[in-house]
Amino acid sequence: MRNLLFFLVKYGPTFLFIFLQILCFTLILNNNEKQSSIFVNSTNLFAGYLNQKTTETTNFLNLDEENEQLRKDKAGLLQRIINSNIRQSSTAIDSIDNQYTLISSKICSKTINLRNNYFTLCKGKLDGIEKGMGVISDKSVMGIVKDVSDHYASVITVLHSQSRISIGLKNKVHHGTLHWDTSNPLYATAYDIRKYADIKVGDTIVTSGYSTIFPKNLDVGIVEFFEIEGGGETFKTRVKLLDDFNTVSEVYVINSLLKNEFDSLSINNE
Amino acid sequence: MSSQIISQFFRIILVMAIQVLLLKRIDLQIGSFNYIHLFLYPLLILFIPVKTPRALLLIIAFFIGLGLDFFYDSIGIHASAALFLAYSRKYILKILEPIEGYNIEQRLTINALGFPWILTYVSILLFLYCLWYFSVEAFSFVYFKEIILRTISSFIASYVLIILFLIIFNPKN
Repeated sequence: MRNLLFFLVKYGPTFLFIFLQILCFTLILNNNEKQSSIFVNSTNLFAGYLNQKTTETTNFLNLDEENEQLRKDKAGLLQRIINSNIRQSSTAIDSIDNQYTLISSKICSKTINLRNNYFTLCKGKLDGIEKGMGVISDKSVMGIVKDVSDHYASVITVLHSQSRISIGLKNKVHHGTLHWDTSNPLYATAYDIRKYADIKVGDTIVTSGYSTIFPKNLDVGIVEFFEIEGGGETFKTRVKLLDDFNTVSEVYVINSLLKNEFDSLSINNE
Repeated sequence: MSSQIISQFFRIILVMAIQVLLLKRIDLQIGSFNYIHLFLYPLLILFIPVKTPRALLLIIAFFIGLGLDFFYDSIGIHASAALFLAYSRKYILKILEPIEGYNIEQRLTINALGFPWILTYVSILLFLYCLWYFSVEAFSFVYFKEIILRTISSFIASYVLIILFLIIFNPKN
């Protein structure tokens, strides 16, 4: 009790001071427009600043999820473009509306400087990827799935000595095969285009759609240079690939709903 | 004792009347430079006898400030500054304490403590008072430059005023 009294005697005035100061500020804020508006504004500023920082931080933490969502959205849009292209070029009334579905995936690892280059995708069998599916980026054709495990898929890229992709000239009937024999990741070579084809430098090379791996009319590259091949019947064309394999980090795996049907017919023919 | 309280009371009324009726109307505008406020009433709090209990001093200061606020239409601002002045008075007194200490019955007058002491004492506390007053009035340190400008100009004007007042109404006892 004595201590309490002593405490009050010693610090009483300070508490009184603080109490009366608080009273003063309450009075100021309640009775003066200028000060209260400043007070309200600065608290708003502070709260706004705090909110903004919090949002920025949580946004940063959610970046992965957001990217995944964006990839999915992008795959959906590409899918719509591809399918609508097919519908336009097809006259059949009962053609399936969405023949192709796209699965987006990140590239886990890749090589581009070897003679045979592979991608490893971060998605596998559990995400719906199967052996033999085509892989594209949003600009160009990338390769074909070679092997698939539960969570990963290995892709033979266009930059592979064994890669053969059936191609054609955009808006023209002629077609050929794309090989990679330049060892330069920016260029590939197209063979087997007939020499009476009306080919010009700058023409766009697209997929032919003769298999179910790639839909028709996907961009592959641009004609840079062409010459008549040794045999004299076909062109040998140097093609500048549209996408840089070095920088690509996201790809889409193409799943065709008609693949099994198509393949079973092909087997019967053999 | 009671006569002293009554005289203090009248002193308070007189100084506040001067502040409210006279000084409030004086407009010391020099061109666009209108940062000068004249404060006389801080001397009430500065020269309340040393022996006054501190809590009482705070309450007196609060009501003096609040009373002025009613006339200045700035509820709370003068009260806050006066409170601050009353609170910090003790510490400044301690710093400026003469070697022999204060006489408990002593009043803080020019005769008792000497003119230089009074000059220092008033200048320190008045400056702190002005700084607090204009900070609270601006209510945000965003207006830092304006606060400093107002503090310095008002401090000089009020300082001269208070010292003149002290010389003219110099209590002999």
